Amino acid sequence: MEKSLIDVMWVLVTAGLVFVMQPGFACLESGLTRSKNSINVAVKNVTDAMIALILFWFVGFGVMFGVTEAGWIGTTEFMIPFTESSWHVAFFLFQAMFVATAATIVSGAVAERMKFEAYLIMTALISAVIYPLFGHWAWNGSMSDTYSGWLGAMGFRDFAGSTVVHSIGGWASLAALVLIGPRTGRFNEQGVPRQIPGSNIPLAALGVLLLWFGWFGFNGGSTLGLTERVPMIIVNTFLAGAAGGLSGIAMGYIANRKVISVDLIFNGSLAGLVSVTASANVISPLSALLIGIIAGPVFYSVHRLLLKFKIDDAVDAVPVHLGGGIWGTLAVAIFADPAVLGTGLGFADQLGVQVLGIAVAGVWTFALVFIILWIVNKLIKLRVSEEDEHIGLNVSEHGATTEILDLFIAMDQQAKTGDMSLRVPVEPFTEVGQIANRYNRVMEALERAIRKTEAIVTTALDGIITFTPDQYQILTVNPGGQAMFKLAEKDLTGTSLIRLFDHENAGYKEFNEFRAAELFRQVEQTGTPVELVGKRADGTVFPMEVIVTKADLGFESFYTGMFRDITERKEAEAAILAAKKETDDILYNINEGIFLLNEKFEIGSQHSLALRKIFRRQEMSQLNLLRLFSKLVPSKTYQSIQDYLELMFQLDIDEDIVNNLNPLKQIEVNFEEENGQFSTQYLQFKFSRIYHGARVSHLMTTVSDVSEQVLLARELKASEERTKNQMSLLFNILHIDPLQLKPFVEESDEAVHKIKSTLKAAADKAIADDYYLLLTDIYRIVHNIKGNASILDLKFFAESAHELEDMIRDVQSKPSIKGEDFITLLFKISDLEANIEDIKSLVSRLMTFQNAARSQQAESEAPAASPKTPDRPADLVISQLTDAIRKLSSGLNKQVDFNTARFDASAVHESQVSLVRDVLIQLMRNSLVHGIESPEDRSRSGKPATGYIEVTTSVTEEPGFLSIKLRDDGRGLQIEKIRQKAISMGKWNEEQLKAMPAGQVVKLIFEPGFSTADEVTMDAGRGVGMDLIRKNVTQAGGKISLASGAGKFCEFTVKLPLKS
Amino acid sequence: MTDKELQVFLEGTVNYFHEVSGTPAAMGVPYIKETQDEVSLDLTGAIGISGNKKGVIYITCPSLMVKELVGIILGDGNPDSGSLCDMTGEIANTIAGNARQVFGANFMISVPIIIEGKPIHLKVAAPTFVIPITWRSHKSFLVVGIES
Amino acid sequence: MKLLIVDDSSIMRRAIQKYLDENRIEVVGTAGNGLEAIEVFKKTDPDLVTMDITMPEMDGLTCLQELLKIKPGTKIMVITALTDNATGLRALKLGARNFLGKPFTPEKLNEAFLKLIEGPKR
Repeated sequence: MEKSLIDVMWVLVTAGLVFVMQPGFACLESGLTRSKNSINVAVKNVTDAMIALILFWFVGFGVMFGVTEAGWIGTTEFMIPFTESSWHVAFFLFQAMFVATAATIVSGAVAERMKFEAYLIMTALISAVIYPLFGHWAWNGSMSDTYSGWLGAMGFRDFAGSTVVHSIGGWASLAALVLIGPRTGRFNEQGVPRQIPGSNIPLAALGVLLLWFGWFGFNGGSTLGLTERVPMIIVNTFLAGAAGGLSGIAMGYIANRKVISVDLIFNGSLAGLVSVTASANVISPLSALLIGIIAGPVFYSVHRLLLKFKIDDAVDAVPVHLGGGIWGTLAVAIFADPAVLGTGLGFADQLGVQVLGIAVAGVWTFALVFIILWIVNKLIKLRVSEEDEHIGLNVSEHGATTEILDLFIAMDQQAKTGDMSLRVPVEPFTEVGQIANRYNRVMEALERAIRKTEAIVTTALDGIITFTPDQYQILTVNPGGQAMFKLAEKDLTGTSLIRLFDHENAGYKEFNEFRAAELFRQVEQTGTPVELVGKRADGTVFPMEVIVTKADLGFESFYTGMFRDITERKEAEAAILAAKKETDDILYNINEGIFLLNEKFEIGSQHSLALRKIFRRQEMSQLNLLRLFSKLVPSKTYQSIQDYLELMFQLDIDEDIVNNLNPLKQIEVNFEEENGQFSTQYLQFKFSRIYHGARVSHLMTTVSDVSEQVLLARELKASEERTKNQMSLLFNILHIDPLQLKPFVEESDEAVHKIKSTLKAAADKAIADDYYLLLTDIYRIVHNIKGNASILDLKFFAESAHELEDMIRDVQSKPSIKGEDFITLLFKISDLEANIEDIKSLVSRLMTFQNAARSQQAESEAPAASPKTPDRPADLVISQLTDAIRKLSSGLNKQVDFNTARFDASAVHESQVSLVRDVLIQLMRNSLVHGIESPEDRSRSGKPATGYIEVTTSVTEEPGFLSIKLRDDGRGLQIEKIRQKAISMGKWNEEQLKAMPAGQVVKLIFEPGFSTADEVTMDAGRGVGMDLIRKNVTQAGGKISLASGAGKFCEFTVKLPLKS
Repeated sequence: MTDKELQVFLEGTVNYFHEVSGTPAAMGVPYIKETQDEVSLDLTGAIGISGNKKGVIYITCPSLMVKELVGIILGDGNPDSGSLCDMTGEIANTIAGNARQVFGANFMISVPIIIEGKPIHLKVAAPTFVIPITWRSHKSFLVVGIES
Repeated sequence: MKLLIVDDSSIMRRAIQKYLDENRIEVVGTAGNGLEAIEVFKKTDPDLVTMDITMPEMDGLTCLQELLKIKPGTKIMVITALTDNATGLRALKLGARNFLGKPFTPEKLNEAFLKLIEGPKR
C-alpha cells in the first residue's frame, strides 16, 4: 500500500495517542494501589516506557520487523538510523509505543511488592526478547502488508494486539505474580481475600478514561494509515469498551446488590477494549457490542479464578489483559467477516489457528518469564522485604520521603510503642510542620498527664494490677505489686491473676477464676473492698484487702485491681481484740471491784463485774461514789471519806501520807434489805493516783468484800478462845473418867438453872426481896458447884466458880444492895453456864470415843468373857474421895491413910449418892484441913506421922437410917478456937458465947460463914461447907452429929433415911 | 455485850422516866432469859439494832403504865390505843437512841415495832438479859439481846 | 411564826404542841414522815420546823435538806433520840439551826425554841 503523508500523520497521531496510555496506566495503577507505593508505581510506568523504547530501538524492532529468518526471527533493522521513509520511522514509533504498553501492563499486577530492579529486568526481558519474538511470528511483514511470520502465515490474525500486546503482558504478569506471591495481608490465614483499598479512585478513573482515549489511537492506528475503515474501527472500539463497562456493572450487581465495586466498572470497560482490539477492523458494531458484553464475565471469571488460586493481581491486570486478550483473539474467529479478514480459513480452522496463537503466546511468555525470573529471584530477591513492603515502596525503593510521610512514620511509631516521650520531626515553615508542632504539644501535655498518673501507679505502695476480664491474665503490675508478691513484672505479666491468691480463699477451698469472677463482680458493684489471702512467690501467705474496678474502653476492657497488704493492720486488729478480750476477761472474772474514779468522784464505765455485786447495784457507771456511801455508811465515816477523796486529788499532798489515813481500809457498810433489816458487809478500798501530765486525772480503785475474812477472823478469834478454853478443858478432864464427869455436868447444869430460876422468881415478885438472902442462896449453889469441880480437879472451873463467889461476897458486903449490882453477877453466871455447856459437849464426845474403844476391846477379847457388872454410882464416890484425899493431903503436905473397908456402897440409895458424896467430901476436907496435923506435929505429939481417916456405913446403928461415919485421928475440934471465932464474927452475944458449954460451941461450926481456917483458900475456909451440909442433910430427912476428942479424934455421923 | 454496855441501856431507861415524869425508875433483879420464857406484857416496843452492835432491845409495859405516861406528857387522861402504841414506841426509841452517845454513830437503830399483848415473836440473841423496871409501882421489863 | 412539827410518833407531835408556851408560835401543820413533811411544808410555808430523825419513807436529815432547798432560811430544829455528837454535828452541818435530844422536859423544849427563833447571841 502506498503510504501518503496523511498516513504518516495519522500514524504519528495515533502513536501519540498510544503514548497517552502510559499516563493512563500510571493514573490507573497509582489510583488502585496504596499511597505508600504511589511513587513506585508511577515511576515504574515512567521508567518502563524509557527502557522499552530504547531496547526496542536497539534490538526489538529488528527482531520483530526485520527480514525474517524462516518466519521466526528478524535479522535486520537493528538500531535503524532512520534514513528511510518517514512512514518507516512513523511505523517504528507506532510499534515502539505498543512495546511500552505491553511492558507497562506488568507494573500494575506486581505493584506494591516487586523490587524495582527486578521489575526493570523484567521490562527489559519483555521489551527485548519476548514481545519482539512473538510479534515477529504474528505480525512480521506488516510493513509490507504481508504476513511473513509463521503464525501470521498460518492465518493467525490479531488486529491491534489482543494477544501480541495484552496477552503477552498478561502472561508475563501471571508468571511474575506466581513467583512473587501475594501482598502481605491480601489473603488471611484461611485464604479469604481481604480488600486492599486503592488510594485514589478518582485518579484511577482518570486513568481509565486516558486509556480509552489512548485506545482510539491503539486500534485506530493499527491500520497503519488513514483508511476508509478507521472511523468504524474507532466506533467498534468505544462500543466494546462501553459494553464492557456496563457488563462490569452487571457483574458487580450480581455479586453485591448494595455496593458496586468501582474497579469492576473500570476493569470491565478495559476488558472490553482489550477484547475488541483483535477484531475491531473486521466486525460490525453489533459484534463489537457483544464482544464487549462478553468481555465482562470473562474478566470477572478470571478475576475470581485468580482469587481462588490465591494469586494477588494488584490492579486486575491479568483478568483484563490476559482474559480480555484471549477472548478477543477468539472473537476474531467468531465475529469477524471472513471476507474482510482475508485468511481464506473456515470458521473452525480460523478458530484453531487463533487458539494456537494464544497457546504459543502463553507458553512462550509464561515459561520464559518464569524461568528468567526464577533465576533472578535466586540472585536478587524479586520481592521487597516484608518491612519494606509495610513501609511502602516509595520509601524503600526510592528513598522518597515527604514531611507528611515523616510525620506519619513518627506517629505510627508512637502509636505502636505507646512511648509518650517521642516527638515528631517538625519541618519549619511547612503546613505539615505546623501540624507536627501542635501534635508535639498535645503529646507533651498528654505525657505530663500520663506521667502523673504513672507516678502514682509507680510509687504506690499498694499493688496495682491490671488484668483481662475473661481469663484473668495479668497485663501490668506496678512496682508496689511486684514488691508485694515478690515477683518481677516480667514473671507476672501474662500469668493468671489467680495464682496470686492462696488456694483457700473467701471461704472456698479452691479459689479459681469462677469464684474470683463472682467475688469481683460483687466488689465492683458494692465498691467495698474484700479481704482475701494473697500468696507470694515464696509460698508465704498474707492477708490483703482487694478492690477491683473495670475499665471499659470499648474495643478493650480490663480490670484494675488494688491490692493492699493488711498484715500489719490485721495484727493490730487481732492485738486490739486480744487485748480487749483480756481486759474484758479480767474485768469479768476478777473478784475485786476495780474502777477509775474521776475528780467528780464518778465511777468510770470500764469497771469489773464484781463491782456490781459488791455494791448490790446493776448499774455502776457514772455513779458518784461519795453519794453511794452516803446511804451505806454512818455520816461521820462519810465525812472523812469525802475529806480523804478530796485530798487524794490534791497534788500538794503526798499520796502515801494521805493513804495512811485511808478511812476505807476496812469499812463497815450496811445495806438495807427489803424487810427493813440491815445487812452488814465489810469492804476494803484501796486507792492510787493516776497522773495525766501534771495533774491527777483519776484514782485507780480496788474494792474487795472482806466480810468473810473479817467475820472469819472474829470467828477464829472467838473459836481460838473457845478452843483455848476447850483445850484446857480437855486437858483438865482427859484424865477424868467421863462417867464421873457426866453426873458433875448434870448437877452443875441443874445448879445453874436453879440460880436462874431463883433470880427470875425474885424478879417476878411484886416487891423486892431481901437481896442479901437471895445472894446467899446463889452463893451456896455456886459453892457446891465449886466443890464438885475441885473433886474432879477441874481447876479452871473451880477457879471460875471461886471468882463468882468473890463477886457475890463483894455485893453482899455493900451497905445497900441494888438491882443494878446483880448485873455483873449475871454476866459471870452466864459465863459459867457457857463453860458447863462446853464441858457437856466435850464429855459426850469423850464418851463416844471411850465407848468405841471399849467395844473394840470387847471384840478382840474372848466372847465368853462374862459381862462386867456396871459400876454403881456409889462406888464412884469412894474412888472420888480417895483421889481427892490423896491430892489434898499432898497439897497440904500431910500424910493420910484412907480406909474405906467398912464402907458399903450398896447401902447408899441412888438418890442419895450425890448428897453422900457432897457430905463426905466436905467432911473429909474439914478433916484434912482442920483435923489432921502435919507429920511433924503428929510426931511431936507422939502420933504416927501418917494420919488416918476412915469412912464406914452401918444400917444397924439406928433403924430406918443409914449411918455414915467419917472419923479421923487428928486434933479434934478445938473448942476455944471456935468460941473465939464466933466472938469475932460479932453475930452472937459475946457474953453468951463465953458462957456457952463445949457441946454447944461445937455446934457453932454449922453456922453460915463459920470457918476457922486462917486463910480463905480454895479448899476450905469461908465456912460455908458445914452449914450447907447440915441444911442439905436436914432437907434430905437426915441428921448430923459429931463427936470429938481433943488432940485425939473427930468423928462425924450423918444419918440418912434408909431407902431400898 | 459486856455488863458495862448493858448498864448503858439501864441508865438510859432510868434517865428517861426521870426526865419525863420526874420520878426515877428502879431496877429489879435481872436474869438471863431462857428461850422458852415468855417475857411480854400488854404493850411492847422493840427496836432493831445494827451496825457496831447487833440485836434487839425491847421494853414491855403494862398498859396502865403507858397510860400514866401519856397522861403526864399530854395531860390526856384517856388516850386511845393508837396513842398508847405510839408512846410505847417512843419510850423504846428514846432509850435506844440515847445509847448512841456511848456506842457511837455506828450504832444504828431501826424504827420501833409495836406489839400489843402476847406472844411476841422476836428473835432475840442469846444471852438475853431481862431487867425488871419499876416506876411508880408499875412493873415493866427491859429485854436486851445484843451480840457485839 | 408558823411552825411545822415532823415526828413519826403522834405522842411526840402532840407533846411538842402542848409543851410550847410561846405565844409567837402557831402550829400550822404536822407530818409523820419526811415525804409527808415536804408536802405539808409546801402547802403551809412555815418559818420554823421541828424534825425527828428516825422516820419511815424519808429520814429527818434528808428531809431537812429538801426543805432548805425549797425555802432556804427556814429555821429547822432537829429533835431526836439519837443524842450522839456525830448526829448533832451532821444535822447542824446540813443546815439545822438547833438540836434537842429526847427525852426532854417542857423547859428544855422552850429554851430550844427561843434559841431557834432568836439565833445566836450577839
